[in-house]
Amino acid sequence: MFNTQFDNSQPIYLQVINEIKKALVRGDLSPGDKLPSQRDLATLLKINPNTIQRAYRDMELIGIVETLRGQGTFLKQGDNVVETMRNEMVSCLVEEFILQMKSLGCDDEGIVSVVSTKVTEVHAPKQSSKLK
Amino acid sequence: MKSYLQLIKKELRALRWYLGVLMFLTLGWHLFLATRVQRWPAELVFGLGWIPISFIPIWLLWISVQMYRSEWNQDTAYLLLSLPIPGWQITTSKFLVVMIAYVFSVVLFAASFFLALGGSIMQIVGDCLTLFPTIWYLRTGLNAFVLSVLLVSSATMLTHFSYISARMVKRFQGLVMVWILVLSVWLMERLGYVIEPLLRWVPWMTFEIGNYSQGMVHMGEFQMSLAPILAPWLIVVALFALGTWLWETQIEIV
Amino acid sequence: MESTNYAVYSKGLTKRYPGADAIRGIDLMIGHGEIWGLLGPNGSGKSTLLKCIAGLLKPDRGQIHVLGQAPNRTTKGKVAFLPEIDYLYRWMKIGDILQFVSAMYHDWQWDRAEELLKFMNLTHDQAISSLSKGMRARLKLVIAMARDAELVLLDEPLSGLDPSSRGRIIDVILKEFKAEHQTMILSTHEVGETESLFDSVIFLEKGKVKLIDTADTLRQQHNLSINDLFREVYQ
Repeated sequence: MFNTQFDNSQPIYLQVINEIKKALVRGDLSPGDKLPSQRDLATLLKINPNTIQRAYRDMELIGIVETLRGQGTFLKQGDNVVETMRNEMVSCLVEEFILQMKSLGCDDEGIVSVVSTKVTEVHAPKQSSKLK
Repeated sequence: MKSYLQLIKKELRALRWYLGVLMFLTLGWHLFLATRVQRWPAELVFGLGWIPISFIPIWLLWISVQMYRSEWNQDTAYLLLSLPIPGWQITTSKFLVVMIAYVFSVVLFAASFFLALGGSIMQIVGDCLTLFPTIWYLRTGLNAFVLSVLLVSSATMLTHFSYISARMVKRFQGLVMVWILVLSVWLMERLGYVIEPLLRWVPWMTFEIGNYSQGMVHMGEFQMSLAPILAPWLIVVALFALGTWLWETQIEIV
Repeated sequence: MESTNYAVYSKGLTKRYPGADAIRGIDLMIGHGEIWGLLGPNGSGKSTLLKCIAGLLKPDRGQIHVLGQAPNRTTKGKVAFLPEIDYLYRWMKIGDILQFVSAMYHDWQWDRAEELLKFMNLTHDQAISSLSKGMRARLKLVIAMARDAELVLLDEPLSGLDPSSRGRIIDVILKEFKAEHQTMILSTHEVGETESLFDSVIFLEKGKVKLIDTADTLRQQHNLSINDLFREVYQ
């Protein structure tokens, strides 16, 4: 489910949140699924349990998960949760990409043509998944 | 109390090796003498048989120092000083084990003497032994034991106190320890003399002395006040208590 | 009192003595439930600081409070200290030392000790003198973690060990650390694999605090991993 290699130069709790979001968007996790307990996840990922706690708390604040007392943490159910999240992540990535391209001096047509040629050449790396 | 028992057990087991060496040497010496019985004069063998007992005080002094020093040499002071137990448990358990070692060494000596040389010695001195009543041996033995325990315990407590105090300086600890030992002996005598009058109520010790003349033993009594011995001993106990306080509040791992 | 809000609180903590690394004016506020990394090269004063917290050294100057009070017998009962050196009686067997230590602490958990021993591939009848360096390090961790100590101090728990021992030790730290009622300070001079354990880190240099912050804040500020930051700070 999770990529267990973290980029240690970025805050780890943000990467944990991102990994969970990605798993959800990819379909490795579905709304309503129970997340591993904080302790289990900390042991699995070999990171500080407080970091996991912070990630879970932040996800609760932004409404991705809900914690049911005594039962654990669950991915929130709702209409189009996954859809919305995918759109969000996609537009985020694309916006960043376009900004970067523009800062290199590319014009709109240039960007579109690069994307349409590259999209068939670049393959996604195999997800090194550990748990499902 | 669970912790105290474990501390005593630990000290005793750490002494195993030293006790073994003492046992080996004492028994070895007596067995060697047993092979000389026919060749050497009986009085000489009997006299030489006492040699091991003169080593016991040195041996006790050695283990007294060693049981503290090894804690630092082997880095186990880290464990000992991080334990959440009162200082007296550590200092008195070490002290108690030296006293146990003392009793053990005396019993060991007597048993070894008797087993290896008993038969042949009895042939020489057997007749003399019957001159005194059995009760005399018991009383005199008990008196001597009490006095020796006072003496050995003082020496042990002073050694332990000196070792702990010397731990507080960073350099020349060996030298400092010897100086503290000398100073505390002096202090023991001086202060002992001062508090002696307070101990007038202490019971006197009675010795029975036998005078041998004209083939008869005449028993006579000799009385001795314990105050001049008990007074310095109490000073030593106070110094030992001071050492315990130092252990708990001042001693660092260095 | 302010210091009771912290597992460890110090102000201007100073300790100098011959034959060891000094610390000079350390200010610390370590919150309950956190895992702290105490980082710095050899000789920067990490051990001295931990020994002051454990109550094995008395400060020359400054203040130190551990779980709300100056280090004393009570705090020693709540602190588990794993020193860098081998501090166990070499003539004992593993079973003996566990018996000994278990009698000294109220918070000793036998079931946890047995479980950890098994996980570390150690048995009661092994003589301590016969253990390899890695096995001794694992035994030390068993003794530290078999207690329900409020504050766990680990001085260089991974230094000089083989990868499999290192892995097992990190696993145990993560599995047994109870953030609800425990605090941990782990010192190391090689950050690498421990970096993701830390909530916060302290960089020590020549007995002084060089950097102190939460790990994620430092990552964000410097755009570097703690490991890379460590290399940069100490050239």
